[in-house]
Amino acid sequence: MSKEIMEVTFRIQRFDPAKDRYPYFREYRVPVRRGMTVLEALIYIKENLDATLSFRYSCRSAVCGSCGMLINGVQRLACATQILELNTDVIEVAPMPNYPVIKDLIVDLTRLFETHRKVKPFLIRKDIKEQEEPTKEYYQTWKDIVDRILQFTYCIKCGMCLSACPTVGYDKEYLGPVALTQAFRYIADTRDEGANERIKVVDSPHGCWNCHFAASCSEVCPKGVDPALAIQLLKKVIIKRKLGLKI
Amino acid sequence: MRESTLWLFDIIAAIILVITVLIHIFPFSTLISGIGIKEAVGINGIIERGKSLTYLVTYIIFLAAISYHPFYRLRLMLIEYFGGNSVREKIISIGCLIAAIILLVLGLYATIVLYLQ
Repeated sequence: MSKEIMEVTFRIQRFDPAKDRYPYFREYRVPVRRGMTVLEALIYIKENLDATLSFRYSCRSAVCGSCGMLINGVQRLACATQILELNTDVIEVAPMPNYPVIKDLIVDLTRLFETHRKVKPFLIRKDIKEQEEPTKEYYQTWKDIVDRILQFTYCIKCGMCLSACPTVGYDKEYLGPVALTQAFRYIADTRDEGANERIKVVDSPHGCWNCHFAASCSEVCPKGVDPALAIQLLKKVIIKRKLGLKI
Repeated sequence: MRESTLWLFDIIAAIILVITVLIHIFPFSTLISGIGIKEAVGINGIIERGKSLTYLVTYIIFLAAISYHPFYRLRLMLIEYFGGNSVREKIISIGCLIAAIILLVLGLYATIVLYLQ
């Protein structure tokens, strides 16, 4: 293990609904080594300074999406954020905005999962018998995958895009970047036959037309999914179908 | 009507507005007749243009687009802020529609009266 380089102050937003009326900030001094991440610092705080600090994490390698939080005003995965790369000796950590806070850095992600479920994020086929008793694979070329859907399949449902989206902030019914991106992902999948069902959901007053292209979602996405692009492509698909053009 | 249809009309209205607003601000008569901008936007210039059939048609199209585009956008904003309830959203949609119709009628009245003078 590398030796300590400096001490960094972590200003962490705390809130326990059982005890606190309002959120407040508490500061902790953490010894920082080269290569140390914000998640490691939070674990250090919990193990050595304040066992009451609550936060979510799992894989610690930026594939599960559990540790999304606001770090120095930007949505980031704590496990993928190197402390020394932030280039400051005071790091402010807060829960992701646009979600209700359960405790400290843990937020209620119900909205993310409910909106995601609404767009039916699974392959829909009309050949029920083939699905239940498959006789062959659904053939796709590499071009079908790479050109149409690959980058949108990288979504890990961390929810940071919804947290960054200004429309999610004031429109409580808005579907949000995750749902809209996954709707496009499945509509564009050559194996899928459920476009009509999904379009009914996204072509609605709180659907894709409420995206005003702030593109904050794409700015914060840790996997390079580019939800803003997916939503504009979704709009294009809907209009093309409306005009009877080939998608 | 699907939201995508309303949105498509909005884009078409925006394109129409680009053209008709330019005509409204920089009357083509100045380019064709050589009359200066000052004369063209003066009261006499406005009355003279108002009597032309070409401008009547242009202004009717302009009015239709400008009655739709801003009120559709206003409707979207109001639904985003105050929606979440189908009754409230219907009230917002109807309110915007009524406001758009009132604006259209007032504009048409002025345009047609000027033409018929």
